[in-house]
Amino acid sequence: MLGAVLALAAACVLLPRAGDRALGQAQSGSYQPFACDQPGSSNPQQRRQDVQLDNGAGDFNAAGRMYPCLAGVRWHLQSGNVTTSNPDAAIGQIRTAYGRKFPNTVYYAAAGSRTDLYQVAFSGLQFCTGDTTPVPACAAGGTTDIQLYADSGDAPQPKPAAPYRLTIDPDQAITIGGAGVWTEVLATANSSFTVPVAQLPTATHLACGLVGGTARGGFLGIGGTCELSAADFAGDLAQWLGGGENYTLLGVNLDFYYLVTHRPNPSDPYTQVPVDGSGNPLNSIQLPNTTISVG
Amino acid sequence: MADVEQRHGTRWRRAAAVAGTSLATLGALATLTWQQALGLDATVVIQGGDATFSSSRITADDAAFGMAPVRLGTGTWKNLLRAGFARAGMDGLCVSKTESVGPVRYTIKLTSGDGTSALEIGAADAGFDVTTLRGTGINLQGSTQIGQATTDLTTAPGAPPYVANPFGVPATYDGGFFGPGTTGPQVYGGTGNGGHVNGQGYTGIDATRGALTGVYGQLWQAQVSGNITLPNLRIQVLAFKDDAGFNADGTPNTTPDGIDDRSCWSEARQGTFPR
Repeated sequence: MLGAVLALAAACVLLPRAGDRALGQAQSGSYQPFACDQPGSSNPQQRRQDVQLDNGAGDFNAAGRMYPCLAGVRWHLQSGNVTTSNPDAAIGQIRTAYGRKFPNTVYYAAAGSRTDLYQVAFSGLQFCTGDTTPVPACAAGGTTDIQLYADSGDAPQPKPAAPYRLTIDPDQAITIGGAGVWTEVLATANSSFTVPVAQLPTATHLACGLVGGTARGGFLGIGGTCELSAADFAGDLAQWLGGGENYTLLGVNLDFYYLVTHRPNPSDPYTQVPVDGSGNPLNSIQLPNTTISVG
Repeated sequence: MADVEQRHGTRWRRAAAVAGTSLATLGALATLTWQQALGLDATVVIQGGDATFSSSRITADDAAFGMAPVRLGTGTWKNLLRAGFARAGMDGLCVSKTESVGPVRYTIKLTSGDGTSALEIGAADAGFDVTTLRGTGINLQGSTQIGQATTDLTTAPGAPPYVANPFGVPATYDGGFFGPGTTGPQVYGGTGNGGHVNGQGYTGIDATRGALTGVYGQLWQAQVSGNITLPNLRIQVLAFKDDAGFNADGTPNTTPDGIDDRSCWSEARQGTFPR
């Protein structure tokens, strides 16, 4: 019976999905004024990256696109324990999450590129602020072990001769995204987050293993935790796994090269930023009691 | 034309150029500020590395934070976090810097504010180089990007066109950045892309708006190119006093930490912010 369910689920995700052929708004010298160029190319913005955004439903076919000139520096976000077997030690929640293998080569500003990044989109990533917020399994003191930093040494040449680490060190829970804000990251394949097995379809280790995740703890294949990589989450079974679902997070270990928050499904994210009813920009990243330092 | 550029974004090359000359001390800042405290086309530049600042609240439009290099007097480069915005309102502002003349140490301290919670201080086209920045709340609002090269950040007001590379991070490997006839170590460890290094390796954050509360930091240099209004400006020269320090968790202790107890930094750590 379980096999039949999984087979049906797998078949569902193999149905054709909307592609990413829709043409988006073009690059604009007004909004991307810096010449992210490559000598010899007729395109003065040859090394600027085209990032087609998600439409809010996991189709990644929004008309809107971002065109960043990427530093090539890896950002690292870490909290909790991705290898935990305890499903009750929540650090936060990721809401309405989707993923896909990023279809294009990602270019850095001057040299270097990679073809192995994944695009993960979500409506919110909220760490615990108390024992019930945002999920009941949070610790009373909330989540305080959040690490966010960027190391220049990880970038390929050319890069600063003197290496640096830029550290954003919050003492309290941070929130990325939220109502009216959609967030997307270009993450490495081995970026991972760990969730309770109980939240997966069928609530079994089998479901975790089927998509490539690593199950830990539990008893007789029930309960425990499942560590999912970005690649797992964007694989063929991704939609079945939980496209659009909310997940309690037990640990997150995210390496990304680009993050953007934007209005859901914009046709031009540069002119249509997330705003409230009065036109004021909505909170996109909230960092309470935070120290930013350069080392 | 220069005025137009100023209104369209923070231009940092001017500060970089100043860095190669005799640097302004905070004493010079005081002079400049006295002359221009009424808020007409003031330009404030401080440089040196041991200044601190604090504010109860800063709301900044077109805010950006990007890693950027500054060249020291020794010719070497130092990486700092450059924070810039097109315009901002502040609820209170404190800037302090400790100086030495022979054996005598003293701290010059500038404070401004109207004593209320209003954003009574206005500044346009401002940039701050910091090594440490602390806030009880750092909210990035609207569209926020992380991971762009600092050269790609924009700090212009809402209406495009934006100014390219407002933080002035070197975008070419040699490119004459040192100026004619100057030499020194390159800021980049290598080259590529025909010398068009484009700021690779200097990462940044770009946001529609930055809303910071209870903010203080260690300031390397600062520049306000546009207008700045500083109500109730007060400038003090204080004898250096260091009877206190701080534990790792931020609580005060009685071990001197080398930072003036009446600096903006020390007072903010103890919960006192300019209003």
